[in-house]
Amino acid sequence: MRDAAFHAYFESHYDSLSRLAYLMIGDASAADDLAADAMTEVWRHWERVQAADDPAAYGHGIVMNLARNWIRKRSRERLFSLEVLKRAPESDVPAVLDVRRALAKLPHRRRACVVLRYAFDMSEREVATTLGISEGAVKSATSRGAKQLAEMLGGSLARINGWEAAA
Amino acid sequence: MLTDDELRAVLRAEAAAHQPDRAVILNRVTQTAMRNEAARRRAPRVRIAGAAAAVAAVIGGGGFAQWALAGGTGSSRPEPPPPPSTTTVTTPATPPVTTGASPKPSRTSPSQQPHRSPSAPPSSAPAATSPLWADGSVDVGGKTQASSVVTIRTSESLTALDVTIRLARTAELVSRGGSQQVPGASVNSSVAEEAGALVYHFTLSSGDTIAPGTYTFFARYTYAQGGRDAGADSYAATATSGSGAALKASGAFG
Repeated sequence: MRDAAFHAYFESHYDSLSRLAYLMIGDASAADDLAADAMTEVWRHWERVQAADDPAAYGHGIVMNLARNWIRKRSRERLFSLEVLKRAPESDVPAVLDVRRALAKLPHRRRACVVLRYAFDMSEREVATTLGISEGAVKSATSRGAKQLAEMLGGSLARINGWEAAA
Repeated sequence: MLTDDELRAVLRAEAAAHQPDRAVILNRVTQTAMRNEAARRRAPRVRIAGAAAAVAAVIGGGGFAQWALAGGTGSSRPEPPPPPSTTTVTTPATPPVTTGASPKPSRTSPSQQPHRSPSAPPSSAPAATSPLWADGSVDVGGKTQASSVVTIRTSESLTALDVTIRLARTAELVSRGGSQQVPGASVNSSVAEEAGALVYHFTLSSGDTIAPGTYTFFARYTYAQGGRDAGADSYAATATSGSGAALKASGAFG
């Protein structure tokens, strides 16, 4: 039954959709909103989601599109929180902000690939399905994005470790 | 330069740091579904109506589910509340909370940690006749993260509600966003950075009505290791009841 199936989909995926949105846009409250909007889209295209090889990837792909639109809109409004993070002074900022600021500096596709590969442990093939791009494109964007991110975060690793220990 | 494993650990920790709010997500799915359903009311095949029903089924029984289902079928949507009358009832004054930029704790000695004075007013002390009751508490979620929670209880329906949670700046205080549990109504939240405080603001969408009941608002944040003194934090709620009365409640956390 469709309702029960959507119910199950919601319970299984609302969490990962919101966390994915959070890593993509850096705003906890807006991430929940994006996850909800993605869920609504999933419902709207339920037949297509059900027919997809990977229904979870379908939802993740929607989040990625919504995240890009959200960032564009916020950039136009000069309110994009990650823009603020980019400009924030480097010192005396908790490591958690360093990670978000560094992610914000990556172009959308690299950020998307790095987040899906590293934080969500997806294979290159799964990422390709989610983003609707080739595996070759995933490989190259991931490798460039990871290198860029690793360099940016290198200096603050000590503080990141401290933060992890505290969390 | 981080290694691949380090990068993986950092990104996973960052993902784990975000706590999705299931109720907020569920609520928004239902809201959107019902708005769309209203727009397509005349469509012969109303698919979206099913989404509201499915989501209502997700959260089970209760007033919200029935409300969502009513919206979904379009048969028995709640009537909009009557326009507020012009008579404004002033609720008995609650002790005003200092919301200035510099809540100054009295310092008896330089080394003493500032604490809330033991004679601080109770969280909220409206007269027994006020339909609006509020309380503030701190929900510690780890060594460096917590939520300041404001619980609002109303015995009347509300056509307007604003809740403000003001957190005094402390070491490494960083907002993790605001969220709320207000089933059946749409609430906008925002966080503003002021000189001496993080200010979380929650506003009921105009046109929405909150039924009598208990609702919670969360200001989430992280802070420096070693704990955080919530003594200078405060909250305030203003509301308009279905009968047009202006209601207020305010207080502190602790």
